[in-house]
Amino acid sequence: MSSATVVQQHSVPQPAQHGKPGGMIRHFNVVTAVILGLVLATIFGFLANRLVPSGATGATFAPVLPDVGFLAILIGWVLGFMIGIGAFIGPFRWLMGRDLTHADAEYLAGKDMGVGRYFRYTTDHKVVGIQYLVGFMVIIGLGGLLAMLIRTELGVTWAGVFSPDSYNTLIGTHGIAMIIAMIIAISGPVGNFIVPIMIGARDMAFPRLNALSFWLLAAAVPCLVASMFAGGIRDGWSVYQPLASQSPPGMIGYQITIIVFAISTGIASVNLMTTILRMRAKGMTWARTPVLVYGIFGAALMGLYAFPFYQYSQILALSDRIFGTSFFNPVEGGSVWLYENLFWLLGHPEVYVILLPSIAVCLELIPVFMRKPLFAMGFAIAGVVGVVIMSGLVWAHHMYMTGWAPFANYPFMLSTEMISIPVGFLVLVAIGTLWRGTAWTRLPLMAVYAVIFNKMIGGVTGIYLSDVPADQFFHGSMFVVAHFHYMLMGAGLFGAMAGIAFYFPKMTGHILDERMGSIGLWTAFAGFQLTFGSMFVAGLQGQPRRVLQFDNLFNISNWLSTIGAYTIGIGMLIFLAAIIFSWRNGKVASGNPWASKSLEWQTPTPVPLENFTVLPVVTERPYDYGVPDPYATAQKTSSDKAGVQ
Amino acid sequence: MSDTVNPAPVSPTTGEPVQVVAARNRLGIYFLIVIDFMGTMALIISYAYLWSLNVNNGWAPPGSQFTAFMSNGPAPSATGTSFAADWPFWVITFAVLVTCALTWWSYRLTRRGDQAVATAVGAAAIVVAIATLVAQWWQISTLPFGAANGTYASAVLILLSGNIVHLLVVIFLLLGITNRVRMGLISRSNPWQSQFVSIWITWIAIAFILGAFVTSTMKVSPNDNPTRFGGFEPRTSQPSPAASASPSASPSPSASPSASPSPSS
Repeated sequence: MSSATVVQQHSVPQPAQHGKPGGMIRHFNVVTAVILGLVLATIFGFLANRLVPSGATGATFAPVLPDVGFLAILIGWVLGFMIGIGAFIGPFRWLMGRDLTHADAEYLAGKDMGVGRYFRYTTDHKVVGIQYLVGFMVIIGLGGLLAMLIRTELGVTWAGVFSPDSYNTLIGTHGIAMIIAMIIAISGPVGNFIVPIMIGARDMAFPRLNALSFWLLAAAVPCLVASMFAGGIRDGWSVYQPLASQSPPGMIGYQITIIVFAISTGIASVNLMTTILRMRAKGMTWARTPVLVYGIFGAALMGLYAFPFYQYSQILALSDRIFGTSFFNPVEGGSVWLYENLFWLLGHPEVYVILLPSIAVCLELIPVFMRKPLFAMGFAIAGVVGVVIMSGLVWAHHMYMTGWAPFANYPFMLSTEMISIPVGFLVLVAIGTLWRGTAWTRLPLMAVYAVIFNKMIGGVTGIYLSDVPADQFFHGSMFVVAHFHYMLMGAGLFGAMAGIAFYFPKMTGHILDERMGSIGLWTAFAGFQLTFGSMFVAGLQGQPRRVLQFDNLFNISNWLSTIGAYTIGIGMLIFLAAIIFSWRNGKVASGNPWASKSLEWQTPTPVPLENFTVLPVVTERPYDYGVPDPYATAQKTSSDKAGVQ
Repeated sequence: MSDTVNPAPVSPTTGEPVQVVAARNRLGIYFLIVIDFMGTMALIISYAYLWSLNVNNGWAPPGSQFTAFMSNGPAPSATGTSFAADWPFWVITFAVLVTCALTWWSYRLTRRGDQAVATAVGAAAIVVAIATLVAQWWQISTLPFGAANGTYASAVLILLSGNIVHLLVVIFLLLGITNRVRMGLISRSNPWQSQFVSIWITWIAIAFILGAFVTSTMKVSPNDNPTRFGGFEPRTSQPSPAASASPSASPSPSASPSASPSPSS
């Protein structure tokens, strides 16, 4: 009797290859993006100039044309840039029913394209990760330069280096540039490059959305820079109403930046979360999932629910400005408290969007350098979950002094103090893993020490500020500025330095120069303590923030802060030099230079296009350093038994 | 004797089973809906917040008003009405529900393998969606107030602008899906994109219902003693809030917003 197998393949139409792989997108890159962006910006600006009636005035009797014209230019820029980079080709092809072939997909992923793939709408998650790394360094360089200028002005009182308006512009632009930089600091480079490999996936869930998220960011940042030439952002990074509605057109640059950046962050969050939930390797149960993945997931989840509020606060503010609506104008029935609520509904989760990945990357690398398992991983996961849940319940602690709902102050004080519990879990897990370990002290671990030190100071001073009576004294003072710099920069930026130093070999194929990197790290750390330690003193003495001139009483603190700020700048430049030098000429890294057990280090370096030849199967936890291999132990036991017999 | 094996169809781009890709994409759609939901909630919270505060008695729109933009154009005609009529909100919402039902029907037909009818139903959904867009535009252009006529006007107009954006996305998706069903790219063995669009349009219908609900039920502000900003009151020896005269544009706090809408600028 013979048997045969009939394979009935359901018909899924195979797309035809039209021309060369990639199709139209072959013609687009960053040069075409910039050219088309500038062309459309010019056309839109010209049309606005022609269409707005001459001499038209708005609700505040200010001329309408500068606002409408600048808005039109920015919309033209963003639209043109995205068309020029090829972002609309995917939706257009989908509409026309011209699906990607495998060859198209490989072309889009940058196969055999060389360095050019970093300047295109490339979908490979590793390319996007590197693009985010460079983008982060550019934005933080801009923010850092502005910080130097701010501290130059504040070195001594009445320095008069900048006019008050220019100073305010420096403050506002520095603030929002640094916030954007820190949000992408780890979730961008590490989240995109490392996380898919870490969970055993070939790519992100939505590769084209991945490219879209980066290029939207690239389109948004020039709007921020342009704002400096249109009157600037003079109202701090929070751009409170009604001040913002009375600002020069530069405020529109801020609003467009945030609206576009929020779209970028939203789709990046969707991509990261879907990838983590759906594409983990076989055998990677939640207990075997690395803690960095939890941290990135938590940050993405907070971005998902919180960013739309920020985005819509700016849409409403833009509408007030351009269309004459009155959401935030009390004279016409609006409420500035509405703005503050919408803003801080993101504003505080955003702190944890920055902090969670930073702490998670520290927890990820401590076991590697201590050669022992992560202490109480369950508590670390509980900490992440607790932070995600509670971060949405603390926003009004920024509004204690605004007069909004005084009866709500104490519940928010309680929730804010309670969020220190899950954050404390994360710090304690780090300390518990370091406890009595034999440290292999390399650059990444040194950055972790810096993070823990800074996080402790930032966390403890945060508890003072969460307390309503104490906040009545500290509110609006330099103490607050020092506190949030300890959290966002002290923990966030130094955490990013830890992550970059740790993953540098996998991302670039070279070891980050230890000596130069360490000098940069500790110089920046020393400068950081000087800058913000002095700022705590100035705040306790009563120096108000956001004020250009100050009493001679605060001169010494400010002088020390300025010296510290320049020291940070020198340290960061040394660290940057280490990155550039090592990337170009550094020691070539092996596939797993840290002898780590997690999946991303089991791939060769440079990582192949599809990450793994065969998708891995996970059989053990990622931090079982020093724990006997159960498989080897079982084999040894059975062979011993055989020997006895 | 022969065995028949039915291997799962695979995605032409990634080589994975289409079911696997579909599960991933479905989750992505749910997350995108969460983002859009939070954005819609931001608008609805803004509406409800301003409605409850009625700051400076500025919630209700006046009968006719020179707005900043209008000051450079022809004088507007007096309308004499304040709030928008309810029925257009619900008619437009009903039309979106019809679009949603047609989209789901098209998906079911695709799953049954009836592609010709599915294409026809999809085309009908496009026609309804375009008609809804036109109706939405008509509603905005015939509202008895302008953008600068108080916070009710602001909140309604921004909600309706959100509806316009939602409808444009829906029309784009329906055009794509219907074309792809027609071309056989969405078929019985791989109907998932049609399902995703149906899920998205279901959310859009819910968003329209939420918008219609708040604009229909939250009209006259419950706060008839609102906070007053933006003006200065003269000091009197015997201050009496009810009798104090304000030189500012703010109306008397005792005035009912629905009965005597305030000039707002």
